[in-house]
Amino acid sequence: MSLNDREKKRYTRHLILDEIGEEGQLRLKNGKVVVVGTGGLGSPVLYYLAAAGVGCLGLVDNDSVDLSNLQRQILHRTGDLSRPKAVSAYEKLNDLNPEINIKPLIERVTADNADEIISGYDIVVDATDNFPSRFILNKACIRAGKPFIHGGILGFFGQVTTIMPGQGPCLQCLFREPPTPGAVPSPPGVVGAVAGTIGTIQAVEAVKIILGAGDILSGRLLMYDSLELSFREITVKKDPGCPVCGSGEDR
Amino acid sequence: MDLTVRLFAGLKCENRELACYGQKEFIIELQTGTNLGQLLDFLGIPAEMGKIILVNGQFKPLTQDLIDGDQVSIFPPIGGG
Repeated sequence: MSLNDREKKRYTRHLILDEIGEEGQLRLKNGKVVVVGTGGLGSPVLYYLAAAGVGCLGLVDNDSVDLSNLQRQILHRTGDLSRPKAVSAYEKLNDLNPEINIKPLIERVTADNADEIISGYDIVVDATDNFPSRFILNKACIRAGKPFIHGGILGFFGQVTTIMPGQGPCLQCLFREPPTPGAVPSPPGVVGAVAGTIGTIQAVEAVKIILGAGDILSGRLLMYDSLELSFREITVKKDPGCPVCGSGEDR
Repeated sequence: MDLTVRLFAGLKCENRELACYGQKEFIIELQTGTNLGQLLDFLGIPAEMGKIILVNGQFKPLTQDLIDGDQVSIFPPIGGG
């Protein structure tokens, strides 16, 4: 496989980087990433992965575009109201980069379909808006041995970490149980640009995993506070008693 | 015993009696045998809000006893997307 002239032009600013070059761009072209959720986090993740030339990009969402989404979900426009988000997202991303394979799926991730949804991909990005879906995806990724890039946002705050099965803690080492109803405001208030910051970091993590470049956020929970404009890190350790990746009973 | 406390995502020490009032990262001296629930009470942080608490990088329940040198990180569930 090689890059054609249009691809060489499109990815010029990648090709001149030592960490990417033509070999790295071909790795991106061979990359298979699925992003679950096309909302606040999914929008920047998908925009940047499509623009970067990730060759096979899955997107999963069963929701439709609502006016209240548009303050942060920048894949969707006012003219998309009531349309399926997966279709709306596909159209924008295909316009941005028609040279990659984008696969929209109108589906809600469940314990029954998670394995199948992630089966054609090498990396899974958590752009969901709820803990039960995250737990299902975490478990499926641990079973399949696939990197899982978690992001979450609330108000002026965000967090991001990368789960590398077999190498570090999983999401349930960190969050043992979904928060009790009422612990998370519903719907949670959120500053749109915070989703942009966290989603962009998730996209960079995916690119780095594909390239094998740099240090990823495995075993590190990065906490973003946009009010004081700080990034602080929490070192997270694998829990031997974790029900998903440890010796617990829930495997 | 001395504990290192790190608070995130808008959490801060809410106990006006303490020198660390309003702070997000501090060392605090407590009686040996204090558990996580008691630490939250002492800091004036309501435990019923479903806080996520890591001790030395591992998830621990509110009943966890703390020992000298522990590093405690506390944050709310950041679940939006």
